[in-house]
Amino acid sequence: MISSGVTAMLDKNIQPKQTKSRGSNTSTLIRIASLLLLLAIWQLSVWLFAVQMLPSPTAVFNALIDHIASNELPYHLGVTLQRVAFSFTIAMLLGSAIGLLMGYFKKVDNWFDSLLTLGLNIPALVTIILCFMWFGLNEFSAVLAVILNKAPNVAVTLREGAKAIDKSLMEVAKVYQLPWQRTLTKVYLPQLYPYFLAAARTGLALVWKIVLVVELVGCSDGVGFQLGNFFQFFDITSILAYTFAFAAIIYTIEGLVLRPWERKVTRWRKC
Amino acid sequence: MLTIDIQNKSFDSDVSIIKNLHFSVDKNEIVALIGPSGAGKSTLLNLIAGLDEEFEGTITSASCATHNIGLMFQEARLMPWLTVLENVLLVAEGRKDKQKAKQDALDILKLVGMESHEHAYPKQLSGGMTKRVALARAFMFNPEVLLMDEPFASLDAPSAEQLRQKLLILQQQMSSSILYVTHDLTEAVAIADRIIFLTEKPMTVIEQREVSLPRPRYLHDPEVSEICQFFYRQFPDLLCSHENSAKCM
Repeated sequence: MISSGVTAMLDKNIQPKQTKSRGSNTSTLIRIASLLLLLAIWQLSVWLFAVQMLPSPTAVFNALIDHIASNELPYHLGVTLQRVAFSFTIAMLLGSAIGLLMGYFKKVDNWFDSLLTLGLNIPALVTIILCFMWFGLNEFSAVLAVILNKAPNVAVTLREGAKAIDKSLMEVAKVYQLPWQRTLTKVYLPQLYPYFLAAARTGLALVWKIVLVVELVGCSDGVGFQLGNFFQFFDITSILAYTFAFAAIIYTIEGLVLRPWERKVTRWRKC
Repeated sequence: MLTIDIQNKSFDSDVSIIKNLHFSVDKNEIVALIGPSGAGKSTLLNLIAGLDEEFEGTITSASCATHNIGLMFQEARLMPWLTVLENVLLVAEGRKDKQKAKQDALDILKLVGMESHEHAYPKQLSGGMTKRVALARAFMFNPEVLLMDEPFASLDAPSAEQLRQKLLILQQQMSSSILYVTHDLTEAVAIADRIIFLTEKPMTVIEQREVSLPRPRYLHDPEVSEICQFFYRQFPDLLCSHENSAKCM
């Protein structure tokens, strides 16, 4: 019969594919290899050309150990992480709410569109300086400056997500009288996950950078503040050591939070 | 059981799409609505399903229950991120006993021949298979009246025939009424207890005919062809103008 033929084909298709998992292992190895290659080129450049302004990776690694041992790096990194986490969360929530409302209601979109364009194009440094001047050199100003810089990006991404919602699937939810919670979690939000993910990825990268500038300009602790100090002493090794620590955190968040989340919500696309 | 009384339905322009349309569907009855493409049959189903509430008239259900009308769209419209089983269970929200709901879903999937694919995603299925899952989902909702909008139109003939037979089995088991929209007279004769003939611009009922052939009926049955020929002769302007023109010769 026709159906059994199709069934057999399907069974064959949905068998777990070993080649896929081998492929993902290979891509992980390539990612690690590219980083190792960068370190090797760096080390080789230092040996061959004896560049004065570029300390070797081993020297940077030793400095990193020293800064950790003195408890100075964990403290400042912890302060920065707190600021990043807090402002990232608020910016994501605020930006998502504005973006979804804009995508859903044409009038809200009209009202906020120009403001959003303005928010996207004002240089981060201007917002930072103004916040410190208006609200003083305190934690509130620091976090507010980051949120004002980041929220418009999230709003733009989520607005596009809300506009791309498949109305035909929402009709299914309506016809089958799904309660709003179930419509939200099983029909609406799954369509937005790729947009949340994109906003979170770019958001995290942007928030890190802005937080460091905020700390450089107006804080007395945090990685940005420390980098300012090292700059004054021309301590390139310490600057790179902090960058190492910073990179390690980024890879950890990417590997432990973002990638697993992405795998989970996009599993159906890859089958 | 379901009474439709639509005085007027128009969109932005003042041109009526549906005008003075009255008919009813009885308990356990399968009613086929047949009319030209573009007449407004899908619009009518949207009105009955509550997707469009802007019209003059009334649509009433005898039981007055809110949980009583399901709609199977032309496309399967499965949630791509849910597995086959999750898609079917999606509409079983009100049920307290989750284990029982799951078992019911598995039973319905078995009935439509999808029991071995409960963990597959829609993307992994053929067109016919997604339609089977959509059919299972529609019956999992346990509707008193199931509206079907040319549900098997995009399928090849054997798959469509197979699904029509599955539909009849499910309809008997669930004691649902079915309002089946099609533009194919042979399909209407093969599946319905009663056929309602519709005109276009504006859409209105021109004739209702009982089909009293014994079941099971198949598209190629001589009795089905005979009745179709009779209808083609009765309504040449309505049935011979579009898709069915070849069959009128």
